[in-house]
Amino acid sequence: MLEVRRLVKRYNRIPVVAGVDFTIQRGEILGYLGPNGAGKSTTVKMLIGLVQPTSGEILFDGRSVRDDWPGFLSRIGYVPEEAQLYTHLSGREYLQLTGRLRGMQRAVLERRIDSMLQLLGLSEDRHTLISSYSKGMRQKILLASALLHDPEFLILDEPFSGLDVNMSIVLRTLIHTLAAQGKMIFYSSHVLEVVEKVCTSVVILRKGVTVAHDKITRLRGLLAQESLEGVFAQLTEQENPQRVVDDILEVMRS
Amino acid sequence: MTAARLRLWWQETHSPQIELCRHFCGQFFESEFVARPGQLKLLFGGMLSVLASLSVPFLQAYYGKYLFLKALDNPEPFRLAVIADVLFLISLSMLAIGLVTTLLWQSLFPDRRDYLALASLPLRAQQIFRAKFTALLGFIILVTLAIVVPAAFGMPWMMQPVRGTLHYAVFGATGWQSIGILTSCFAAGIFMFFVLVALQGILLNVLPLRLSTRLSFWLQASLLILFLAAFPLVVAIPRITYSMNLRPDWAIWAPPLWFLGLDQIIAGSSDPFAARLARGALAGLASSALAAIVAYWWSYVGHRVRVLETPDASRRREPSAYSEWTFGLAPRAIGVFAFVAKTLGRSPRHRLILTVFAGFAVALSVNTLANAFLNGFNFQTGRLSKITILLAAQLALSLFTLCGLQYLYRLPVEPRSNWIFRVYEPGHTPMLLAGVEASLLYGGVAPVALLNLLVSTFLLGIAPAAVLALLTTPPALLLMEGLQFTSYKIPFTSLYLPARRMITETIIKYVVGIVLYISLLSALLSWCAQDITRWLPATALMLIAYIRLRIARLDIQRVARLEFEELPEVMVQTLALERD
Repeated sequence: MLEVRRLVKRYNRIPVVAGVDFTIQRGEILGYLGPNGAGKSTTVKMLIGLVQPTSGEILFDGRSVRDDWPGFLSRIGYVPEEAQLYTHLSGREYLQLTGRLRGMQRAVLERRIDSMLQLLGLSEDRHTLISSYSKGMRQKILLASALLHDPEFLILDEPFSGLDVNMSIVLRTLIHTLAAQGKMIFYSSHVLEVVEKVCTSVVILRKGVTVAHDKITRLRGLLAQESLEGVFAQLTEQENPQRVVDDILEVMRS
Repeated sequence: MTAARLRLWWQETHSPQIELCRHFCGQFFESEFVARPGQLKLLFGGMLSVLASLSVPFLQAYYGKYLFLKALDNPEPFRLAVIADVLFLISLSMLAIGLVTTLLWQSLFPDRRDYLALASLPLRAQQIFRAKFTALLGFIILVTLAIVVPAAFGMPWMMQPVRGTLHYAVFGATGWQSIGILTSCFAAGIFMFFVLVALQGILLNVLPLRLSTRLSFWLQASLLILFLAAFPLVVAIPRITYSMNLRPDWAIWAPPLWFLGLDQIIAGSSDPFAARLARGALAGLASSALAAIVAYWWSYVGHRVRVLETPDASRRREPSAYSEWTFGLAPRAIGVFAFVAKTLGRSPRHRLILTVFAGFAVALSVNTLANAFLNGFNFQTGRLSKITILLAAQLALSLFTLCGLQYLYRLPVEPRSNWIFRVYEPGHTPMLLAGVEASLLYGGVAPVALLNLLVSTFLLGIAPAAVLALLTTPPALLLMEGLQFTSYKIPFTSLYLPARRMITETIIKYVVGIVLYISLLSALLSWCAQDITRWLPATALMLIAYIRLRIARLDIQRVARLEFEELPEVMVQTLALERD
C-alpha cells in the first residue's frame, strides 16, 4: 500500500501543494484530478523524487520511502506527462538506457525490449531516431520504459496522450489487468471520461488542497451529478465556459 | 534620425524581406548551447573587449618596431617590414573570415528547419533565399569591416615616415596606404567568404543529400582545423621580412599574395609583378562572387525539393557491435557510457566543438614547429629537440582533447529529458560516474595515446615511441582525474550557463595550463626520456600518483550527489524579509 500523508510543497514560501493525503491499495487505480495549477504535477514529481517535499510523508508498505529511496524507485514505473526523451537515440537505444540505469542484466533486458517493441508495433522503427517518431510512438516508448522491469507501482501522467484508438483500448485493458494482478496505479489526467472508465476512485485537488477523495460512484451520488465531469466542475468551482467563449470571440473581433 | 526614432522604426513591422533578414540575422546569435536568449551576445561582447584590451600591447610593440626602423639609414628593412605587415593583415583578414564562415557553415544556405518553419507563411522561396544571402553577406561585411578598419587606419599611422627624413622622401604620405590596406584586406575577406559559400553550395547540389550532409561535416571540421592551425603561421609572417623581396612563380596561385599585389598597386607601385598579382585578385574576387551567386541560384532551383523530399535520414541500420562492448562495467555504467558515445557520435555541433579543441592542439603544435624552424632547427638532425617537440605536441593533444571533452560534457542535450537519470540516481551515483570515467578514458586518453604512438613510431621508431607513450600517458591520466575531481555530472544532462565565468578567467586558466602542462612538462619529460634510469622511475611515480588520486576521488564520489543544474544566480538579495 502507498500512503501519502500531509504532503506539502512550497516554492518561495508559496504553497503549491498544501497538505495532500491519499492512499492506494494493491489492486487499486487511483485517479488524480485537478485544474491547471492545482498541484498535480508537483505531487507526481514528489512521488518520484524530482522535487523534495517541504513537509509530509510518503509510506510504501508502511515504511517511509526515505528509508530506502533507491529500493522504492526500483519498484515504480513512471510515464511522464510530457514526452521528454533523448531524441537523438533510437527507440531501442532509449529502452536500453533506461533498463541499464535500472541495473537490468543484458540478456533479460534485450529479450524484454524486443518483445515489448514487437507488441507495441514499434519493431519496424526500433532503429529509427526518436526525433522522427510521432507523438503516439513516443508515448509507446515511455510506456515500454515504465513497464520493462515489472514494477509494483505505476505512476501514469496522461498516459493516453497521442495514442490511437486501438492502442488506447489495449492500454486501458492492460491497466485493469495489472490492477487485477495486485499492482497499484496512480493515474493523473485531465480527460475525465477516461478517468471515469479506468479508475476505481479519485482524488480531486483544488489550489493544492484535496477537495475530494472517494469512489467515483459514491462522489456522483453525494453530489447528485450524472458524470464525473459534473462532480469535478462543482468541486473545483469552474467558470462558466460560455462566458469565456464569448470573451474570446470579442477579443478576436476587437 | 535620432537613436530613439531609429529604435521605434526598428520595432515596427516592415516588408517580408526585411523581416526575414532580421530573423536570419538573429539566428547568427542563437545557439542551443545557451540557456537564455542574449547570452551569446554577452559572450561575443566579452570576447571583443578582451581583443580590444589585447590590441593595446600589440600596438605598442608595433609602434616600437617602426620607431626603430625609421631610425635606420637604410630604407630597405622598413619597406620589407611594411610589405610583411600588410601581408600579415591580409592573411589575418582571410583567416578570420574563413573561421567565421566555417562556424556558420550550417547557416550558409536555407535548411530543412527554415523551409518547415516558414512553410505556412505567405512567402516565396525566392524571398527566403534572397533574405538569407543578404543577411549573411551583411553580417560578414560587418565582421570584415570590424577587423579591417582599425588596422587600415592604425597601421599606416604607425608606419608613417617622419617628415624631412630619407624615409619620407622614399615613401611619402600614407593616405593611399590606408585605402590600399582597407581595400585589399576587405576584398581578401569577402573573397574567402564567397569561396566557402560556393564550396558548400556545390557540395549541397552535386552530391546526394545524405552523402553531402556527412561530407559537409568533415569538410567543416577540416577547414576549422586548417584555419586554426594556420593562425601561428600567419602570426609568423612579420618575422620573415627577408622573404618579401622574393618573387616566386607560385605567387600567382597564392590568394593572399594577389591581394598584397592589389594593395601595392593602390599604394602607388608600378611594379609589373604587383600588377599581375592585382589582376589575379580582381579575377579571383569576381569569379568567387559569381560562383557563390550561381551556387545560391542552383540551390534555389533544386535544394528545397531535395531537402524536403529525401526520405528520413534518421532511420538507422542495425547497430554495430561497438555499442555492446562492456569493458567489464556494470549495467548502469554501460548505460551512461553508451549514452555519452551516442550523443557525441550524433551531435554535429558537439563534434564540431571537439574539433575546435583539437584545432587548438594542432595550432599549438604548428606554432612550436614554426618557432623551431624560424630559430634554425633542423628536423633531421636535432633528435633531442625533436623529442621535446613531439612531447609538447602529444601533451597539447591530450590537454585539449580532455579539456574539450570536459567542456562538451557541460553542454546540455535536451536538458528536460534528464529526469531519467535523476529518477534512477539515488544509491547508484558512483556507478553512473564510472560510465563518465570510462568515456573519458576510452574517448580521450586511449585514442590520443594510440595516435601519439603511431606518429612517434613513424618519426622515431618503435622503441623511442614506446618510451614517449609511457611518459605522456600517465600525465593524461592524472589530468583526467583532476578534471573529474570537481565534476559530479552526467554529460549533457546539466544546464550550462555560458558567460557565467569571466572570459579573462578562462583565458588565464588555459594559459597557465599550457605553460605548466605543455611547456614545462615537455621539457621535464624530454630530460627523462634520455635515460631508462630517468623515465622508468618518472613513469612509475606518475602512475602511483594517478592510482592514489583515483582512490581519493572514488571515496568522495561514494557520498556525492550528481549535479543537474548550475547554482542559481542571485540577482537581488531579498534579505528574506517576507513573512511566511
